[in-house]
Amino acid sequence: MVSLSEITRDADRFAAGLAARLAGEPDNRFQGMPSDGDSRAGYEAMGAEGWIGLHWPAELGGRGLDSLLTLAAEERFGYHWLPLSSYLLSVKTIGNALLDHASPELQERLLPEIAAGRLVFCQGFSEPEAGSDLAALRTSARRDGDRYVVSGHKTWTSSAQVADWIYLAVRTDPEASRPHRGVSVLVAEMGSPGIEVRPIETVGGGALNEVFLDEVEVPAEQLVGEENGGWRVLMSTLDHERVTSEKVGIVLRVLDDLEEAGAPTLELRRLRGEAEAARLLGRRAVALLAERRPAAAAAAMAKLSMSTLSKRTADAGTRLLGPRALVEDGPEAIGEGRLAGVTRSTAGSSIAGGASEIQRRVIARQGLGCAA
Amino acid sequence: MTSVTDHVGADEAGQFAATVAAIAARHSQPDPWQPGAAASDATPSLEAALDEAGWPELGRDEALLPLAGPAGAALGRAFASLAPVDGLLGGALKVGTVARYASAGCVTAEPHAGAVLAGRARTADAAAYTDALGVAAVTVTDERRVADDEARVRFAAWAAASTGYLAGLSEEALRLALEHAQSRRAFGGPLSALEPVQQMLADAATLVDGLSLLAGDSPGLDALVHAGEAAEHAVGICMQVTGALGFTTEFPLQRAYRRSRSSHAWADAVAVAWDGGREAPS
Repeated sequence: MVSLSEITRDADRFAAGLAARLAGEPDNRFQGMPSDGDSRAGYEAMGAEGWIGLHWPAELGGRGLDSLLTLAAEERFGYHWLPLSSYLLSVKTIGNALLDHASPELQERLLPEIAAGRLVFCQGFSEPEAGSDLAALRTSARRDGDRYVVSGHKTWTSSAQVADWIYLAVRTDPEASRPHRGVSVLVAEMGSPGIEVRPIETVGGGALNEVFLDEVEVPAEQLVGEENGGWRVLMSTLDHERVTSEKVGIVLRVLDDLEEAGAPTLELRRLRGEAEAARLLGRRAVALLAERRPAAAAAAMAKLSMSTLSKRTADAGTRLLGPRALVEDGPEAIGEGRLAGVTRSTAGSSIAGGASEIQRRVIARQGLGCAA
Repeated sequence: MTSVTDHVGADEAGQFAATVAAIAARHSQPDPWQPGAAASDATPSLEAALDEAGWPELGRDEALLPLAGPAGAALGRAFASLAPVDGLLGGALKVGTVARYASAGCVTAEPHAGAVLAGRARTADAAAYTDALGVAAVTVTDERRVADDEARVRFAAWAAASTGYLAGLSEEALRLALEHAQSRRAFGGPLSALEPVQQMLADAATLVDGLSLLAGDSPGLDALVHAGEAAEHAVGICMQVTGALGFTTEFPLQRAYRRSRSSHAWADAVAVAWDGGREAPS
């Protein structure tokens, strides 16, 4: 069996090599947070070289390893600044959720293609009037014989401009007694007639998207989980999304950059210690998810600790190094502009995947037993 | 499945921590501190019982490092004396001109530039201090450098036990704050049903869980430096949630409040000294 140290070493070597190969790609030049960047070539290489689905079953294209090994590899991907958005959506979040909730037929159709690095997913959750309050979503899916007809408007959708498929939160029962009881999850091909994507540029240096769905026909067998039973699927999907271990690697890289730039050792020790805690919170959440045990509070802690650490690292860079911290390019840039990029982008890390206030609510109510 | 964490000593660590917890429960002492006091919570009977249970071995045998964090946490949870933790260094912890649990004639241990300097306190003037750490201004004679191998093992055990102690201290502080928030009623329900209180408790719980996980992972100096700040932050939240009650000397939370503050200061100072600096951190 492969050990943690072996996978860490191999992932490190692979990611360093891939980062060098991707260095010339212009799209990610000023992408401040590599986990928000996209590279089709990078994603394909990850699949081709066996780095997608480490803990997925071999018959679905994986390697059957412990999911904690996946986590360790993802940390190295982040450290080497790989553009990871496609991976994080297709593999870490949606792929893992499909493994938990999709029918065997759907798994056999989609997961091997993802594992091979050929299929990119985006995630259609947020809408203009449903973000933190996800249960307010209005995109409708009307059953019509052997298909659903989907109409609505999704927004803040990462990677929709490159995705082959979309993982959609839809309303299948507008009359449900409580809003979250009428929700389902569907997967649809982005090439389906009636889907239109419009990019929205962000301060992070990349793009989010609006996705318009106009009478899009989706075969009924592309339902994930039960009809009107989608809330549980969505919450479990978010649990996977919220373990952001790649950001541990991203922060550790910036700390190495800060060290090289002469930042005081004490502050580096403090943030590295905090990164160790964030890593362990991520490991705990993934271990719970692997055992199919309740993981919402643990995943929320993993995410909250990580977004806090990202901001504290960016703040420390500015505080310790002054105006130079914000130089994005050229000889004065800290870590080839990585520090400036993260500083510019870190505001997104406490919003994407659920605002920090929502994480805290989940922790208090599901972890500490506080009343709703 | 592949085992990815080093489980050597995991059971042993749990068993030893349980032993330490039982000892601490038998020897818990009233808090001798009051504002302006030069106080020490050193508890000789606790230290004797821990000695008998093999505690000093943590500072001598590096294979026992995984035990130090959980054992420290057991002491922290009991708001016990830190003297046994400092004992792992081989003497009263000295930074700059002050030392903890120090008295004239005692052995001192000062981390400096990757080494531990042992000495003997020629004089020790007890100082009124925010925490009952037996802090004294000391002058030291007979300074010598502890052999590197020994110093490395002692310092690692001390850092791990100190981190664990802060984890346990914070866990207990959070338990007190949660208990208060769930029983105290305001605005027609428990405090814990109020969203701003929930948001604060969630932050504290995230910090505390991170510290608890670190304690079980053979934490080093980086972890300790984080732990000082994180414990102070978490306990500060617990103080806010507990309101005026937490600010009184009769409610036990104030012990965690003072200890997390003092530990933060000492952890940072020790790290700066270990990294070779003589300056106090700004």
